[in-house]
Amino acid sequence: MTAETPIPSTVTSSSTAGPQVTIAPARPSVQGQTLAAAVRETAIKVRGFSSWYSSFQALKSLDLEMHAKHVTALIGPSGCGKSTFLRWINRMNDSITGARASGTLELAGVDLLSQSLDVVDLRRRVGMVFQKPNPFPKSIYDNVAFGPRLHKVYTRAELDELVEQSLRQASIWNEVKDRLRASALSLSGGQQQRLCIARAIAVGPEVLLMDEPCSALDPKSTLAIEELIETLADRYTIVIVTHNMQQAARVSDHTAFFFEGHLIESGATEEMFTRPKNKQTEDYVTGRFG
Amino acid sequence: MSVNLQSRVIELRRNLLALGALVEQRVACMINVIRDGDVELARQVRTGDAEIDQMQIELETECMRLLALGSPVASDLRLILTAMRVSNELERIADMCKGISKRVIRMVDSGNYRYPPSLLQMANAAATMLSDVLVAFSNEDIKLCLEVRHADGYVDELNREVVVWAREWIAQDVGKTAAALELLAVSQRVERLADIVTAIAEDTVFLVEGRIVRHGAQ
Repeated sequence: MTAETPIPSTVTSSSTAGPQVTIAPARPSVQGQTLAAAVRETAIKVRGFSSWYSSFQALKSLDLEMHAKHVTALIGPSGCGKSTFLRWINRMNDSITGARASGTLELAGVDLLSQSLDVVDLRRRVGMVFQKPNPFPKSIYDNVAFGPRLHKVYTRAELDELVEQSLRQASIWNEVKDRLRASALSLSGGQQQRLCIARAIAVGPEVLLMDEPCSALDPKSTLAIEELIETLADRYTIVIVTHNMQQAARVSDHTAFFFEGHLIESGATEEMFTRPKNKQTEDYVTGRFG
Repeated sequence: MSVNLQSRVIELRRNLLALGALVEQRVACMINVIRDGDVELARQVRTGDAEIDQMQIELETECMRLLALGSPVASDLRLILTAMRVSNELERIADMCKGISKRVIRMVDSGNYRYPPSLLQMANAAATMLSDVLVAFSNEDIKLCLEVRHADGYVDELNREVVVWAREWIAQDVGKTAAALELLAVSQRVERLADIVTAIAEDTVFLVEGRIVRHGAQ
């Protein structure tokens, strides 16, 4: 073998290392670039929001915006304040002695902390679905019709129509349409939870709050609820508390991570689960603590 | 599963670096094959691929298992996705070494083994890039990744010199055309090897920052 004299070279460097290159800032996500995202409506606005149970401060100066007709997941370890925060959105904490809050909490510009706020009307605008299905010991029909009857006088035909539409929206109509007069307690756990969702949406809310809505359900019912959440997000602003990271990743558009009463990080779910900015978020979503 | 996932992700990283070290050795052998026209060593490089292939398959299988069972997110997810790509890229580098050895054997057997110094410089540069990128991966060193990416241009330039040199060789003696074509095939593979190393550098940027910087993106 022979190493020949090279043809005149243009190479001037023998090093493989080039000059330092400045790292460009991370590109915004596609979601972040869309016009729709730029002009999306803020349904719930939170500024400097704190809350206490007597002397214990449960939430510490939260700043957060939840977008209309989007799903926002609240995640964090037990006791971090996410359920407390959820309950402030429809003033359920009012009944707890010593519970108080400060700062701004607005729904479509309405101050939710105002003492003059009509809480009954608020709860029509902000529906709630709990961890454990809680149908009334009434018929399936009466469960759905219960809320509308409180708020307005309907004709029988109007009420029938409303019940059917609510059950259809909650993806349970086909399963119960032939036994609307049967007891709601005869339904399975997953069906009961969808019935509760139908009951919540029958009064025409803007916001649906869901506090671990699938934690008492089997995988099949959980899937049904998750699919339902995706469908409902076309009409309602949904805020869901969940301990299931995969569920938060699957169903939500935005995720907010709470820890010890602080809002550590919030952002597009895709970002939060692929490249969170905060180390605590990273450690929590990867299961390193919590 | 989460605790298990964490320990298995650490093991995945370790196994990927072990594959990298093995491929690094293969590239060092390839340089010796080019430098010395060592046919015996070339034959060893050609036949010693099975271990790397097996490691690559095991790594890919483990990645699939972790994706299916561990529900990884954030840095764990990025590592697993990166490991899938990088293990494949390392295996392809080993294939390049194999292809280069095959061409050198042909040239030596034909009695026409000659090459310009720029070919050896290319091979050395590609080997340095590989070593650097493995260090960058291990230390999650973005700056070093970008230096590796930059160095690819230097290898491309050397490849062009080899092409010019081969043309001159053919022009001087058309009977050497077959050998010159083998030389070009060797040079092309070294250049491709450096491209693959660059892809690993870009994958490492994704691992660390979650940014996709392939296809010229900054």
